Amino acid sequence: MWRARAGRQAGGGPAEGLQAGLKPHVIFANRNSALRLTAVNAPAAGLGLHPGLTLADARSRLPDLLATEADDAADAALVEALADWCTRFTPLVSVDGADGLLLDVTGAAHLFGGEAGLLTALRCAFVRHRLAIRLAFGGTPSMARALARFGPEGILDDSQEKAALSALSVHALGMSPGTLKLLLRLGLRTIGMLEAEPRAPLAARFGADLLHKLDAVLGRIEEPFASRRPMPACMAERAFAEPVTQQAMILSVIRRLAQDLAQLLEQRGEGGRRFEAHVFRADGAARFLAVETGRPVRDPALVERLFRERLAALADPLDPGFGFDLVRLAVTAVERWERPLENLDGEGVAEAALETLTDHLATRLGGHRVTRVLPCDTHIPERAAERLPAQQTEAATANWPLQRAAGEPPARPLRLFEPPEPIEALAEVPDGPPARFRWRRVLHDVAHAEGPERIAPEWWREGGKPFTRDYFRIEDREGHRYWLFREGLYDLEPREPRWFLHGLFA
Amino acid sequence: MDMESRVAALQALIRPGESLAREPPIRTLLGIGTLDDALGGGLAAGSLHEIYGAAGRDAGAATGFALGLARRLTGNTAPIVWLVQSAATGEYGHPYAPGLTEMGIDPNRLLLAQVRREEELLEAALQSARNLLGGAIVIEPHGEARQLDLTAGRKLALATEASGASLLLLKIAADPVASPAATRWRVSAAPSHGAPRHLMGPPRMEVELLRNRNGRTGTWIVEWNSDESVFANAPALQPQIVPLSGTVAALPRNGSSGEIVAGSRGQAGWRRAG
Repeated sequence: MWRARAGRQAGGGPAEGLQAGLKPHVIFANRNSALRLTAVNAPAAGLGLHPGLTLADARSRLPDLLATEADDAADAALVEALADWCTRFTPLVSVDGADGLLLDVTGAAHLFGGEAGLLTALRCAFVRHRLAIRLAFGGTPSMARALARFGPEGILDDSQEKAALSALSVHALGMSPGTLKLLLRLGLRTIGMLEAEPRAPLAARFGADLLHKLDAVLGRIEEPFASRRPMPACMAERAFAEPVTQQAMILSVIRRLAQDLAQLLEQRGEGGRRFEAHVFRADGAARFLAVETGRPVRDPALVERLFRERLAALADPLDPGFGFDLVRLAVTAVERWERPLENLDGEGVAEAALETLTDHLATRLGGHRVTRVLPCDTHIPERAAERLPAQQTEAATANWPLQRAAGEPPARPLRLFEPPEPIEALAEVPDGPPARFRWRRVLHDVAHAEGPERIAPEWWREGGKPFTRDYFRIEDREGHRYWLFREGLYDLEPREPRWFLHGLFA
Repeated sequence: MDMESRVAALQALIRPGESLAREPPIRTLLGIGTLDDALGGGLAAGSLHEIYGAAGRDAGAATGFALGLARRLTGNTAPIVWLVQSAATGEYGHPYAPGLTEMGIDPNRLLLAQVRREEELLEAALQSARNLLGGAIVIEPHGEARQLDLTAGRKLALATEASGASLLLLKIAADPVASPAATRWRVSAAPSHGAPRHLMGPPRMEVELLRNRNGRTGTWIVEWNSDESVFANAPALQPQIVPLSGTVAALPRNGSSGEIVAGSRGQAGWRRAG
């Protein structure tokens, strides 16, 4: 069971510097076709300014008011970055509204010396970054959110929590403005008042949604928690007293963490298919790196090598800033561990070597660039072989049909142009082979030709009007062999036929 | 002991063995007596071989020769890793698996990797040379590939001597540069003779052995036998070219099976289309 959540509410949007200045400072944005304040700092609030006031009104009261236009995108990016960083406390973090974070700290608080320790750690971290924060714990996400935004901060015991919840304004329920207005007009100003009312009439008047939200805030029902990232199957982490800056150090830590995880995985009879390294910078930035493998893996040395390559292949290298103070290794996908075949001389070893190589290449180049080919049951040449990511593809035992009769030269080219290249050809009509063609500005005289091999379009698959193709195998006077086709039939299909070069033979 | 550590242990067994490296390499017969003799009893596995396409239009022939060597070296069981720079696939086309099948190479053994830059290609090649046990690695850069120089070649050659994988560096329309390759070939397409029923014969190329660490150099006209998966000495070329019109496969037209297209060709004449 999870126990507690911390919600965060910065004093009206996480705009940096807002809390720092001693002069009145406001943030404004265009809301309801007027420039209105969206956030004010403490001195401004002391002078009677509040969010919702138009900027003109505020300026008339305080002519030398410091005003900054809101940057919603930057605010959102900041909240996302903070959410990433908060995963150092628990892997389950979600963003709440424009300026809130929900952390599922079930079973995580004791790592920081209980809820009080966690609270202090969070507060210190945010204050260090000059961000105002309100923190509260609750038994459900809704309770934590309501308490953080509208109730008293900090840790409450059971009776305090009950009192705080009843005293909460009905605003904390997060109902629509219409419902809220109606509730207030009926004199139902606090949660406590609402709770005292009989439920059936409330449901009849306001719908079941109100009761659901009430129960959620009071912690009477279980609520799902939508984390930004899935809960890892298992993870291990190491914090440093002194921030480290060297990549080699990070890698050796990853290896040690992988050793810990290997034991965990062994106990569970599983191996990891996807590993994530989370490195947290002392100054509040977090970086997430992932590697995938083609089959379950436990070997720490292999995990380290994969991350070494991942780091080497980064477009923007890992910037240590003032150093990293926490490294976590998480296994986010696992698979049953199949005991590898025990033959030393046979295919097992070579196969394992190939899979290891696949993982290395995929980590370095990107999974979609390392492919195996699988045959597809179609006559359209460009679809006959499909390239699939090798890591997700089983070592194939597919059956590749032979297109030629025994003793005949290859009927399919070794290299295929994707898409086919348009050429200019002089050919007998209606369906003779070309005698001469121009490809990439060079004229080729045809010495030998074979065909046509007619390939009908797959009308059920293609949109529009597909055309018949007549393929020819062509050899020019120097001995170069090409695969040409004419798209369309003279007189039978509506468009004038066109010629393409599709492939090169050996 | 899991598989990775076992592989690592095996590799460690091989690596320090200087004596192992000095042992004569395993040789594979290509199928042409004089050529195999010149190579000292076949092509050496676990070495670096360079295949140069004489010009851009010989891309098909050079690719075919390189894959023929790969097929001979791997015996249709060990994997073939084909590393290709994206620019090369744009210029000469993508590797096409059905074409491999036609040549007698099982595409299920193929691992394809596309790289963008030359440094990536070299990295991937080194990685493959170290990790792949047996098997062949086709490395295909685009253009001159200045970074695949003597030093890079030495690194590659060392890595492959340890792992036993064969390296085939395929350079199309590039000039040979100094390298520690065991053999270097220049390949151009050669006209095929007309087979009895079909006009095109088996893949045929002119290969010039430019460098041979173990013997003499020379030029051969070779042919790939797709059924036996072996190279053959090309028979002397027949001088005459069979006239085109008589041998084009006839096609029924308009659904009526009796009428033959060739009959109407005379009246329809020639037309240019593009």
